[in-house]
Amino acid sequence: MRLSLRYLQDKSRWILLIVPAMLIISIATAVIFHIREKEVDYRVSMVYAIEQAESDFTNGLMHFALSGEAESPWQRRVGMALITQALSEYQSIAHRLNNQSSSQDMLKNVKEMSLKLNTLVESGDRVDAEFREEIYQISSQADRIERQLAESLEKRRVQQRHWFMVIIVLSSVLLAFLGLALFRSERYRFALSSSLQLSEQRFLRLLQNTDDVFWLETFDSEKALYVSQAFSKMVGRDAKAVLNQKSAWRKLVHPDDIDAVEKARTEARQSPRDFKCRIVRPDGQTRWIEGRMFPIWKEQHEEPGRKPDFMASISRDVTEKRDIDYRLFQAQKMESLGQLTGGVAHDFNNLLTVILINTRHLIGRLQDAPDLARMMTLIMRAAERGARLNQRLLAFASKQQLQPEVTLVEELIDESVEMLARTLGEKYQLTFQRPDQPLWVRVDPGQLQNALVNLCLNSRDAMPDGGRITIRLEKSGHKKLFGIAGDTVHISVKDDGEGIAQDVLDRVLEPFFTTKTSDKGTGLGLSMVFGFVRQSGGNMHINSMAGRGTTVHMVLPTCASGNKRLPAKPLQPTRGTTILLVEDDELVRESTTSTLQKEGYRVIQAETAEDALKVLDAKADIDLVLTDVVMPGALSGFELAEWVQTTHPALRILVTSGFVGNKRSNSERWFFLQKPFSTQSLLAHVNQALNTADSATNNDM
Amino acid sequence: MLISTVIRLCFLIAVTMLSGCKPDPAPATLTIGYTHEPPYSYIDEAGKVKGIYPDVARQVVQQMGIDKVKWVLLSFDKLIPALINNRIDVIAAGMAVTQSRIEQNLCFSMPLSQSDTAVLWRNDNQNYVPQTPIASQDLQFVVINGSSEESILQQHHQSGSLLSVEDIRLSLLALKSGRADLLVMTRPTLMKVLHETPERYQIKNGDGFLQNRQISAFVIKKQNTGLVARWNAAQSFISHQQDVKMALHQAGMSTVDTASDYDRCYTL
Repeated sequence: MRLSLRYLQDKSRWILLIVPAMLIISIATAVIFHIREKEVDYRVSMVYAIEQAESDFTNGLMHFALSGEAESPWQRRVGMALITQALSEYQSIAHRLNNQSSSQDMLKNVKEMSLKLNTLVESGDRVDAEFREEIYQISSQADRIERQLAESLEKRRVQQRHWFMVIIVLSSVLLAFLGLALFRSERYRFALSSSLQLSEQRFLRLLQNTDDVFWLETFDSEKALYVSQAFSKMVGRDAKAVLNQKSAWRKLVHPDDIDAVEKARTEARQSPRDFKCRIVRPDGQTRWIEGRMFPIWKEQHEEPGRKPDFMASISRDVTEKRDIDYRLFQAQKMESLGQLTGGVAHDFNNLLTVILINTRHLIGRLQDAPDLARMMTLIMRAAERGARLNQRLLAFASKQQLQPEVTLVEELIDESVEMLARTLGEKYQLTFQRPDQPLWVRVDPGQLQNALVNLCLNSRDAMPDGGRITIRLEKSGHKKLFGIAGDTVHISVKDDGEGIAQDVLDRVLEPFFTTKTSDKGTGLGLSMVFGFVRQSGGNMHINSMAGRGTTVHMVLPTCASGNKRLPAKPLQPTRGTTILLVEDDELVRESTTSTLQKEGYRVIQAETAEDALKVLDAKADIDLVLTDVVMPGALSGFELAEWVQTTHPALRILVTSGFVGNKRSNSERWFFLQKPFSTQSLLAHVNQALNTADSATNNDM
Repeated sequence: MLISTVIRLCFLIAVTMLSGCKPDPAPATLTIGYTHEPPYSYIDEAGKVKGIYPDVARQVVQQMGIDKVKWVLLSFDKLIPALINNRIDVIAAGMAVTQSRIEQNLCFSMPLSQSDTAVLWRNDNQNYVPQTPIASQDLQFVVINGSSEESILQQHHQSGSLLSVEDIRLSLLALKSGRADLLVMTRPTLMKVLHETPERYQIKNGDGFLQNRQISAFVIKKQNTGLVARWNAAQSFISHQQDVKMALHQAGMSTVDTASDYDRCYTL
């Protein structure tokens, strides 16, 4: 019972009450009709019986009364039999109506009358007045009984009506409860149905709007139960193909991957399995798919080893993700390579610095030995080439420092065009459209040249059979061009190549994005150009259309200054100036000391930052601190510089390092010298640091 | 759980209700209707029900194992309505088998007797002489209401020449008063009348359309198939007894040989 009550606590099961309620109502209705029918039959039979008894009695009396005139001797016997039969019938009716007093009176009179009748029958006398009176009394008594029976019948009818009404009321109440239960059940069912419908719509909307493909199938049917809309988008075919015949997935999967998928499907009957495969779209494109298959049981808690009822899978196109992952891997590889390269370059810088300083120093002393001087010059040029190579390695490693200069763009492009014309070859016609006025910008000229080279090489690759490349330089007539307001220089590189499709064009500035083969490009060219232009305060834009060539626009802010980039002037060393040289590399330290001493500087050496601090504490006549950045010990060169800046604000500081990354944002407070440095560069930076009135000016050299 | 319980409950109720639908058991009391028409059935001087049919009925009932019989005296024309209205179960009055009665949903048992139709007239009747053809339209007939003779005469005579009365007494009164010339009934009954007052009446067999041999049997309601089968089975045993045949012969009737198919009603 408790279980049943708990079962019925779920409103959705109230509908089950209808079954017993309908049963009860049906039984009650059947009982009512049965009672009614019985009642009708009973009344009909009673009325018929009374009529028959009355008829028998009347006929009997008639036979009896007329027996004296009858010609047959059996007339009185028939009358007697009919009267007796009628009286017996009356008695029976009275018994059935529980009204025995009348019938007993009647029987008593009948018996007396029967005796008289028998006497008369036996004697053959005529019926006298007394006997007629007796017949009259009996007849009256029969009428009275008939009236009593009628009253009893009416009383019974009223009682039956009351009972009938009670049953009707009870049935109505039961029906009302049934209706209420049905209404509540229906309302709850409707709410459940609406909720389910809403939930289903949400679920379907979710399935339809996601790029993942949902697949549901049974094991005993060749048709798939459900395949989401994303299937068509992912596979490029109508989902009906697999809905009607689920084994059609074999036609979609790359032949080399069918076995792997089949194995995953088999194993997924036991437990969830991940799968990975390729599919071949109708256009021949191959896409990578990853997903997970898992069994589903109808029962929430599946029995161990029981065969699942359904199998579902969720799969997605991971082609782009795989590409991104690959590019990320490439980028990380390049970054690691860059760090490795940067570290190697740093060590090379120190070595090259020593070589450059000492070869220049020796060349000066070998005036009398021209053969040795020439050999030494070759060594110095080789070291300088090594330094430039090292610089490229640093650039590759993104460790290069931009060195903006006020540059006459036309002259710089002229230099680049001359070099590019030789590089591109005869198949390509390189044209430079000059401006009608000199245009100055403040950029790193080397990087600008690199940018032009990159763009021209891209144009060359876009025209494998040769073509025209046009570099155009002009002053922008717009107040704002490509987001850059004010006076700007507009440099464009245009080719008549195959152009770039729109979907590719949207991504060409992304790092490592390239349409070239791996041996022709890293995908960093345009990215480096874009980064350089943005770093220089400008912007870049690409116009291209497939088959109509490409134009790359670079916009750089003009520079008001007309100072042209000039070669470095000979330096004038200051005699008697004391320099504290902090360098952990002995070779660099000795070479630098020798160079500076040769120019008349007094040099105090320190191997670490801690040693330098001790020297500073002991001596007060130091004019400049020249320090390396990466050194053994607790303090780096920067930390030493900051400490000196705090404790000796009047001291000039020159920091030298092979890492641009070591150049801090607050480095404008002191001067910076890029390793490897030549003697001229060293003396120029030292001279500038000592002779600049305000030490917090720049470090642009 | 609940559903199976409800289904079991319904099944139990259905079985309980259907368990009342058994074949008709033998009734404890059989109600037999009769009329006063000797020698078929009548009341003797002691007030007892007598006659060929009541006597055979008693034996049949005894053969069927029924202890109590209730006799109901009715006029002939009220026998069939009483059977239809369930006042009586069997008619034991020598009722003739006719097509019209068969069509009234009545079932005749195996025939017990057969007898001829006859006519009775008063000796002092000036309107009729034995040589007068019965088909004469000048004759006035009196018959028992509801009898087979009434049906026959209604086919050949106008309604004005036919008088239907309730019983024999009234038919004799009709002859006495001159309202009818001839009383048409079965020969055994008319022989009984003639036997009581032979000086007053004459009798002869019916000729022409009244030359008719009636087969009589017990009558049961057609729906009461169980009673029909049991009655026929018991009657076939009784009717072949010698004393029954003897009684029939003495009453002016003869036996009828028919096939023994207890379950079927007798048809012409």
